[in-house]
Amino acid sequence: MAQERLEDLIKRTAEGDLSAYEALYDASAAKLFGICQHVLSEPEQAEEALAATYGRIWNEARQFQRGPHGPTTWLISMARETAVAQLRGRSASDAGFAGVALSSRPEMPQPSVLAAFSDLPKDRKQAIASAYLKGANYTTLAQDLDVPTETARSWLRRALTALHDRVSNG
Amino acid sequence: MADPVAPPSADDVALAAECALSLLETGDLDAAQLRAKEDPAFAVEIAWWQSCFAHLADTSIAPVMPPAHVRQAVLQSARGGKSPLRMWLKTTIAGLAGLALAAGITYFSLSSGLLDSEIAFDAMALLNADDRRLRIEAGLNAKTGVLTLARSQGRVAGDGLALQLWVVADGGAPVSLGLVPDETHWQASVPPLFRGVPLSLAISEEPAGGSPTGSPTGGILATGDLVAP
Repeated sequence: MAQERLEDLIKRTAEGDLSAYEALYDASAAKLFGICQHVLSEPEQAEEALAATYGRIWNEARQFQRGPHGPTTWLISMARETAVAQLRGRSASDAGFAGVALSSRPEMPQPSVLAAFSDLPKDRKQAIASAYLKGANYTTLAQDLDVPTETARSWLRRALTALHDRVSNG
Repeated sequence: MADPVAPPSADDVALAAECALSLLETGDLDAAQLRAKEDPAFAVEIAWWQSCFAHLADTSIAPVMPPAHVRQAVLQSARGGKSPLRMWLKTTIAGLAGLALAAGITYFSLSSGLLDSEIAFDAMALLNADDRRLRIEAGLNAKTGVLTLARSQGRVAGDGLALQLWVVADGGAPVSLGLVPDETHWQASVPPLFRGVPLSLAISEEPAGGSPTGSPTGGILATGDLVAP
């Protein structure tokens, strides 16, 4: 669905427009469910996370306009945050950075993101994917890599900085 | 405060990525959340990473059709149905607590918060306009239709403006319950026709004296469903 249409649906959802909310669900639920399933492999858990995500979307749609993200980023971030929080047994907004009011959108050359990420060595890709989509923390990552936690941290931070530079200089 | 012209340091780039990846633990996390609120450059970095990772997820994860019952629960919840609402209401309230703490507002639970906890209400609602630092709790006596309200301290609206409270019956048009007063505790009366149906409350920003039309004319700042506690 076109970003403008999604954006319009989110804005109308923020005003309490139920038919817009319904259309928003229909336009985005499959994408967000894919993400919830990725984080939480048990079907019931994934379904609960999806329902909780839309509950938050309904409640926090106002935040979308005050934030820097495009509609797809916002929706995916909501789903990912909710699912990871559920995985960790915590409430979604505890660890979130939602609600930060920004006036400008960060520039993101998207083709560069894909290229830069796929160019990363496999272990770095896996670590980032684990953190983003499996809620892995440094302890888990360190175990996966069979290194001390602090080593895993400095290793990942270097990889992230390198990724940032690749994307930025694209 | 970071120099707005200089590019972010490698440390800040990495820290912002860690925020977006939820890799920070308590102490570091609290500090980062606070910094994100006070340092726009840092907040932009976090947003950059969120956008980056969301794009990767968008392009690599296949959509999966969720079961129909989830759709039903989600829409029912928004319309004010009881059981699905309770599930995410608990999550939402816990989530709001986190937001409130991060914003430096003391959080009160619904049962022992702004409203007098001695009184048993048939239904309660929580309206949170966190960027205004305004929280309103409402408790309804279903038999009498009396709505008891309590709000957090602080000025309600800017010069020439007022906040107006509305009640909405399932699918209906909003009906005014008056302006949010200077007092922190007040009462309103829910019209008899509205009793016994799912209700929600809303706050809108209006010109001083309230909406001239009898319907909300300004932005809706917060909404909350009245649900059995």
